[in-house]
Amino acid sequence: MINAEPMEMNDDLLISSLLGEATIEQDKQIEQWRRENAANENRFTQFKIIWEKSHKLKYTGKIDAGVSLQRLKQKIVAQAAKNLEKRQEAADDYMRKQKKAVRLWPAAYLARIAAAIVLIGGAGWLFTNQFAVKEVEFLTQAVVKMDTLSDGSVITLNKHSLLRYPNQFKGSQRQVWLTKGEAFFDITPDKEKPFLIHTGSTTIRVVGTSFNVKNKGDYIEVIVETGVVQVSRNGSMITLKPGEKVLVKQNAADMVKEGNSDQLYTYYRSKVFVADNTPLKRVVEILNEAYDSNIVIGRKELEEFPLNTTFKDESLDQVLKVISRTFKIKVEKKENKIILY
Amino acid sequence: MMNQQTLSLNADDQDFDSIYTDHYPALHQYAFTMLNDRVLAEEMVHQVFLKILEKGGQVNVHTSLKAYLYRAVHNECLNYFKHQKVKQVHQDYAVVEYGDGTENPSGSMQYKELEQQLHTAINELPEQCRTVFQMSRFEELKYSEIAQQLGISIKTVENHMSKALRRLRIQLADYLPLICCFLLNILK
Repeated sequence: MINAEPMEMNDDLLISSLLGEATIEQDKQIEQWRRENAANENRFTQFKIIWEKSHKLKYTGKIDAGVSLQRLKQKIVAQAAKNLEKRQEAADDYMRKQKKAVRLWPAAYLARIAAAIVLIGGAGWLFTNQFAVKEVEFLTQAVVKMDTLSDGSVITLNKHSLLRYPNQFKGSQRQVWLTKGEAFFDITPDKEKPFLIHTGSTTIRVVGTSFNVKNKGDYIEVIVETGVVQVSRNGSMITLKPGEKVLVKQNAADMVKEGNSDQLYTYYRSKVFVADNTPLKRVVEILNEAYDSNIVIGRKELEEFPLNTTFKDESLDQVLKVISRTFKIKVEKKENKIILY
Repeated sequence: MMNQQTLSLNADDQDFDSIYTDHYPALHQYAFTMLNDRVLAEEMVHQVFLKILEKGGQVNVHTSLKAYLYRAVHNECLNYFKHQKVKQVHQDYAVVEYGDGTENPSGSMQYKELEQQLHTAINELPEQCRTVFQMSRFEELKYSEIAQQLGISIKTVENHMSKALRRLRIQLADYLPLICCFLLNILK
């Protein structure tokens, strides 16, 4: 138990020393105390682990206070418009109650109505055009889910993924944010309102098409099924046609277009794994995603072995059995790992 | 150290812009370490300022503006947890987001578990305690700087830090011994 330690040591001092706030004298004292026995050393190490580990929670991305300020200002305007509308409603209410009295003064009455119409109309216009949009968070945990957006576009969200979108598309563009994970987009065509998907540093722009987007943090993959898709990042842009794909790597400057060699990426929609001369490495990668498993290839030369087969709604064990028989390799389960060798 | 005073914020003032941009990085960091989501973190900071403006921009500062804003962000985040009832969702989510998977495989499970528990435990610290911890850990300020910025004494900062780390250690007791053994094994 943590509290039952024999020697009394002042935790304040221990922590001060850990944070570099203690005097040299105190540091020496602590070092001596740590050497006394393993329990002391352990106590210090535990504090140290907490201290060092907690640093991992820090946000290390870029922060642009200026841009954030601009976004805040937009919200301030929206809030003001909303308040204006509220006040106008109250005034409207008041006027209805005063109707009798007002009738005696038709000119003033009409003028007031005119003013009210202008104000309500103005506020209403501002409100419905810009601000009456609520954001929806579409989050999946352990199962794949589908959702339809206000324009009729259908989204299939893979496991452990998060998509944000407005409950109604307003303005000249339809915009959504794939914060993490993978989704398949089947976009309702609308030439007037292009559809934009923001994910990481990349923006994908389409008019009406279907395609798959996967955000793995260190890379983003876009595979096009129908139509034309524009992918842009940091000012550079490429256009993808059906059957093409692009990998946007976090650290690489260029986006490289390639032919998409396999149909595996459709597994989470179709529940079918199609391997068509697909390297084992790629099959394993997808299986790990689909079954939340941790399959590892034990021998390097196995990685490129081509697999030709289709799995339909089968258990992981059945799938592994087929792979093992095809290549005459062994499957070993060890703790939470499955090793192919 | 600042005394009690009333600040008046007006969104059209130049002052407002500089107050916002000066405090934004630290406040965003605070909300991020609570929510582990960049976009949500910004939203929390925005809500704090929107609420101040909604009330006419009057801020009653007892110690320092920074302390006031930290407390507001803290409360905003707690409100978010409460209203959205996303605590569980968030924690599941945290498991997915943490770690890059390249750590030592035998220890990585324990590590992730610890990280997740640590995150929860830090969020459960009392507000002042958490704020001091935040400033020391994530803004990497010295005790004296924290004391000055929050308008409290160095001794109080020291007390908060001890309280924070002691609490974390007790709460994480079940996870720590394993980790220590694991670390020692690596060092051998």
